[in-house]
Amino acid sequence: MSYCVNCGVELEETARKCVLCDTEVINPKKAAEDKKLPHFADEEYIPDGISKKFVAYVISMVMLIPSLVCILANALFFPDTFWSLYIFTTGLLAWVIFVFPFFSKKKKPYLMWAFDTVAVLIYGLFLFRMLGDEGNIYIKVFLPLAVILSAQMLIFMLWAIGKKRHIILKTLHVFVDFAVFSLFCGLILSAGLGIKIAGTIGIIIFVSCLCIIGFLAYCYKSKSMRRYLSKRFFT
Amino acid sequence: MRKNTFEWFRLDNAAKIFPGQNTRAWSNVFRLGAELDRQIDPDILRKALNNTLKRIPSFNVRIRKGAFWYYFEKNPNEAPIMPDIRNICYRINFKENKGFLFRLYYRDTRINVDVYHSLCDGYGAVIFLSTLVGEYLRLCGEKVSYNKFVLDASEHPREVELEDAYNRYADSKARFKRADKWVYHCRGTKPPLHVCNYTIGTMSFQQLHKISKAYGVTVTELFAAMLIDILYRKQLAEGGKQREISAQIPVNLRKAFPSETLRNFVLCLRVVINPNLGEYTFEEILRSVSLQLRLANDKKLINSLMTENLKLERNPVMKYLPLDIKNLGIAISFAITGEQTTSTLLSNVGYVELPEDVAKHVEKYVFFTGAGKLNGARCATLTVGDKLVFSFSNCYEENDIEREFFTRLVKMGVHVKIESNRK
Repeated sequence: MSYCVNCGVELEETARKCVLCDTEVINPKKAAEDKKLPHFADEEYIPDGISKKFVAYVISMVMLIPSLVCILANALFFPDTFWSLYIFTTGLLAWVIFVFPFFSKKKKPYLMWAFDTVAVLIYGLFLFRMLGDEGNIYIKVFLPLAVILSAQMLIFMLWAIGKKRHIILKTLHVFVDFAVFSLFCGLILSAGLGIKIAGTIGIIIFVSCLCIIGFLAYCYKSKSMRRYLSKRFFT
Repeated sequence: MRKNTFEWFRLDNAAKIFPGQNTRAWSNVFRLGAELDRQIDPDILRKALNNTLKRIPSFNVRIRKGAFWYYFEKNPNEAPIMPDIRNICYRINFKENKGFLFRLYYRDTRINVDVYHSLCDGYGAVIFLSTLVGEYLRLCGEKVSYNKFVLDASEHPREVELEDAYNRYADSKARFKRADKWVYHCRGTKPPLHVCNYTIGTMSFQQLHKISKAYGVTVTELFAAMLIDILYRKQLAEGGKQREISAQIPVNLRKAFPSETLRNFVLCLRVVINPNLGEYTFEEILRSVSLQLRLANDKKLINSLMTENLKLERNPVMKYLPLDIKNLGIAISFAITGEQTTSTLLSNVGYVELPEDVAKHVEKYVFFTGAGKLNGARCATLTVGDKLVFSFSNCYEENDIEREFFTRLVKMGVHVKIESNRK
C-alpha cells in the first residue's frame, strides 16, 4: 500500500505522486506489477465542437437572401434606379469583415487586416461615386480616416498578438486608440467639411477618454486597487 | 401498462429544466459506477444492458421536441457500450450516442454509467446500475437474488416506476418562496473544455458513523458542515467582502412521499452560514447545519416547495408557450443566476443495500455529481457494505478543498484511499 507522507491518505498502488499535494511517492509499483488498472482511464474523448465553416456558410446564405430579394425587386419594379446596389455592397462589406475570416482554417490576422482595409477603401470609393461625389469627400475625409483607423488597428495587432498582455492594458490601449481617432475625426471633419462643432466634440471625447485612461493606468499599477475592485464587483 | 406509456411519456417537473440548460460545453450529467470482483466482458455487458433496458424502459428512450414541451420516446436503436474515458460526465448531445441519454462504459473490473439528469435522479440511477450488475452476474452464471435495488430483469416493468411523482404529491395550498441570495464561490483556473477534475476518497462507513455519532449528527450533516467550514475559512483567508456560504443538499422525496418511481423525485434543500454574524467554530457550524437540515426536512414544507416548483409548469400561459421560447427563458435565467445561489452541492444517495449474493461480488460503488459551471466543489457520496465513497467534482484545476477535506478526515482517524483523474 502507498501512502502520502504529507496528507496521510492511501494512494493507488501505481501512483507516482499524491493527487492532493503532489508529494512524490518513493518506489511506486509499476503498472505491470499491479493486477488492477487505476480507477480512471487515461484516454480522453473530446467531442467535436460546432464547425465554424458550416456556421459561416449558413450566415452567408442568410445574408445573401435580402440582397437577392432587393436586386430582384429593384430590377422588376424600379428598373431605372440602382438602390439595391447599396444594400448589396454594404452586405458584401459586412460579409468580408465578419464572416469571411471563419472560412479560413488558420487565423491569419494580418492578411485579414489587409483584406478588410482594401474592402473598406473600395466600398467608400463606390459609395461616394454612387452618391455623386466628385472625390472631395472621399479624398479629404473618408480616405484619411480609413487609413488612420487601419494604421491604429495594425499597431494594436503588432502590440497584442502573440504576447501576454494584461486585460487592463489591452482596454487601456483601446481607449488610447479611441481618443486619438476621435481627435483626428474632429480635425478632419472641421478642416475638410467645415463642420466646426466636430472639432469641439472630438476634443471633448479625447479629454473624457484621457480620464478613463488615467483611471485604467492607476488600476494597472495598483494591485490593491485591482483587488478591491475584484472583490467589490465579485469578478 | 398502457401501450402509450411504452411509446412515449412526458418529462417530470425536474427533468423539464435540464434540456433548457444544455449548452455545447455543459449539461447536467452525473456518473454512477460499480467495481466488481471480475474483469468486465463487453459482450455479456451488452446482453445485460439490453435485458435491463427492457425492465427499466425509462432509460430506453430518446428525447424529442414537442410544440410546447420535450417528451421521451422509445429509442429503436441498440444502446452502445464503450471503453471508459478520463473526462467523465462530459456534456450530453441529444443527437449523439444513438439518441440515448446515458453512456455505459466498462474498464477492467468496473461498469460506469453517465446519466443525463432528465432521465432520473441518483436513486433511480442506483437501481438501474444495480439491476444491470445483477443481470451481468446472472449472465456470468452466478446465483442472484433480488430486492428493491436489484430488480429482476425478466419481470415486466410496472407503471408506478414511470410515474411523475411530483404531479401526484404536489398539492400544498401554501406557497413557500425561497430566499436565494448570491453566495460565495471559490474560483480557480479553468481546465480545457470538457475536461474536469474528479477525486474520490474511499473510507469505512463504520468509522465515519462512529465520529458523526460522537458529534450527535448524521454523516450527511457532518460532511455538509465540513464543506461549509472549509469554504468559510477559505473566504476568511481571502479577505474582502464576506458572503454567505450555502450548501445545496438534494433530498430523496420517496422517504416522505411513498413512490416507486425510477424517474426524478428529489428536491434540493439549502443550508446557509452567514460569516457577517460573527466568527464560527466548526462545532457551531455543525450544529447550525444539523438544525437547519432537520428543520427544512419537513413533509409539509417540502410539499409547499414542490408545489412552488410546479407553479410555472401548471401556469396556462407558460404551458402553451412555444418550447424554444421556454428554452431561451431557462437558458438566460440559468446563465444569470445558475449556481450563484449555492457555494457547494452535496448529494448523498445513502446506503445501497444489495442482496448478499450480489454484494459479495461488488467491491464498491462510486457516485459523481458532474462538475458545475461555477462551484469548485460538488460532492456526492454513497455506501455499499462498509465502503463509503465520497467524490469531488471540480471545474477548476486547484484541489485545495479536496485536500483539506480528506486530510481533516485522516486527522479524525478515518482511513481514506484517494483516486483521481488528475494528471
